Amino acid sequence: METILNVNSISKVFGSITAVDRLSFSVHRGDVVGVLGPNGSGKTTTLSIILSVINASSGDFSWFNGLKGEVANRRIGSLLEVPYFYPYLNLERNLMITALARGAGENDIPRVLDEVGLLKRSKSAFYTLSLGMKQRLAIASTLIGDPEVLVLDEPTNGLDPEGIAEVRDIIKNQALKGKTIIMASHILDEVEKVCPNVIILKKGKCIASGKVAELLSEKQVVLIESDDIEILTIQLGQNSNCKLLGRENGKLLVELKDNYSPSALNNWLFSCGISVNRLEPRHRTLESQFLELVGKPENI
Amino acid sequence: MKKILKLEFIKTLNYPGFKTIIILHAALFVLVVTIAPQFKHPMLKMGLEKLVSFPYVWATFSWVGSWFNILLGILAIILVGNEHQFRMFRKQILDGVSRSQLLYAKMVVMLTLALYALALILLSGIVFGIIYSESISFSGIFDKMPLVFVLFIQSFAYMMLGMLFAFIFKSNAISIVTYILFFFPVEPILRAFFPDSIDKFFPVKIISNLTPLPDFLEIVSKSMIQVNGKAPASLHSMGLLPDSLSVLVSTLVCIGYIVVFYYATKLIVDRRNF
Repeated sequence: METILNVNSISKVFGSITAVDRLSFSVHRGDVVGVLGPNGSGKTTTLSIILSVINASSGDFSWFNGLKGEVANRRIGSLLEVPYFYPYLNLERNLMITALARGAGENDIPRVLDEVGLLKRSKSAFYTLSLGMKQRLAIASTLIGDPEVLVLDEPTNGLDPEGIAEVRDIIKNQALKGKTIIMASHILDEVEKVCPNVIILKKGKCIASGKVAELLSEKQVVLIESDDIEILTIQLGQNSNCKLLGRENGKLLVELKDNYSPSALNNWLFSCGISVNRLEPRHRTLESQFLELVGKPENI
Repeated sequence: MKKILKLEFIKTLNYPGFKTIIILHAALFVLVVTIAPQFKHPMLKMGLEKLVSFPYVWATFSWVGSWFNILLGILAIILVGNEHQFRMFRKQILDGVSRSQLLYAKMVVMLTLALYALALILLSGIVFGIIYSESISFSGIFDKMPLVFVLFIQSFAYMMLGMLFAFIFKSNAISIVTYILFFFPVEPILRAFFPDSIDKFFPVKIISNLTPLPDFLEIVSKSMIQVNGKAPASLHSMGLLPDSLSVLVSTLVCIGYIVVFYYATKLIVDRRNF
């Protein structure tokens, strides 16, 4: 499959802070990729570098097999952080500036305004819009000229639940049209509902990447209490179907492999001569797995 | 680039501050040149109408026009500062405008403003010259007209320096205050530490010297020669006008400074994280 974006060991250092640390990844045509990570993990800095608004301290990247800078950006609809527009210009003129910059036709403006539900406000000055409307306008500006790639940084910022659902639908529709989409967010739910693939960042480093379903699946977790927690810990270490996640109030938190049930574990422990006081199945959400992942030490 | 210039003019011409400053600039200039000829010279006890007649009108209007160049410099700062304030340099790069195009588009706006300043002085000069000249001849009108074109270079230099300050400091307020302080007193104080042979090449001095103070005394007293046959008095002969570089040398050095301002700004634009 054609590579749309190739990022090769980019780093960005601001004084003593390393915002992005030797990050490499690639995105193929038609991919919908989520860049996930807590605040300060380097998501916006990474997107700013690949969109040429900030210069990388080291490393390189290229779009469309060797392009970068303004030539590449004209083929990308992008939204970075909060919406930026001239407050004194109306929506139509603001989008006209985007259309001219991108070399797109000005007749595309009514279409994109209609798509985000702002057609009736086309003559209103930007400063008169609510935060949600500003965000919708920013989405509209990314769609000007029907670009083949969308790069969206926190696209649902400031939107109400209805607005979030609408923006999500717009993004999904674009994905269905075969657009390549890179979407950054710190909200797992937002990424999970739109992106089949994720890159998880922590302190500027990629700590995991791949299919969401593979990285973050809903596995069975049990909480076990025993009189001798140390022997229980040693014994569980010998069971390849179990993964020790940690301790919680003197009890052990254990993840079970698929098809290995809590009762099977209980039987196995009994056969090993260990009796447990309590074995409580726990539902482990994607959110908790994500938090666990980004909470891992840097060397993982 | 044509589309980039179109977008540049959409945002500039629709900016309310732009219209205000241009109207203020034109109104102040016209007000000053309308009132000035009405004053009586305190020593010669005669009107200053001669200063706005052909060919003296060009030197007079270029000098008066130069007072208001600082307004154009401040306008250049505001236009660049707004892009920083609204983070629109960032947006335009995201939309596919190159860093060089950002800079060139701003320079074209400034060249247009310099052309406007030139047109204002040319038109006012022709109108006032016709009104106040006793006789009008071809050579009388065109002899010293090239002085006005020096004002074009001067106003462009003011704006290029303003743009450089706006790119360095980003904030409108800090850029404007620093810009004004640079004209006075920072550079004049710096010049005090250098000998005359060097201090005349400092940027503010060079830019100001493009439109020197016309020798009012000489122009006004010339009309009295016919009466008493004596050589006209002049501010220069009285030592009231300092010796400075010729307008041609000043113009060439000023163009050199414009090139320096351009490269310094380009260096910032190319390296800045927007």
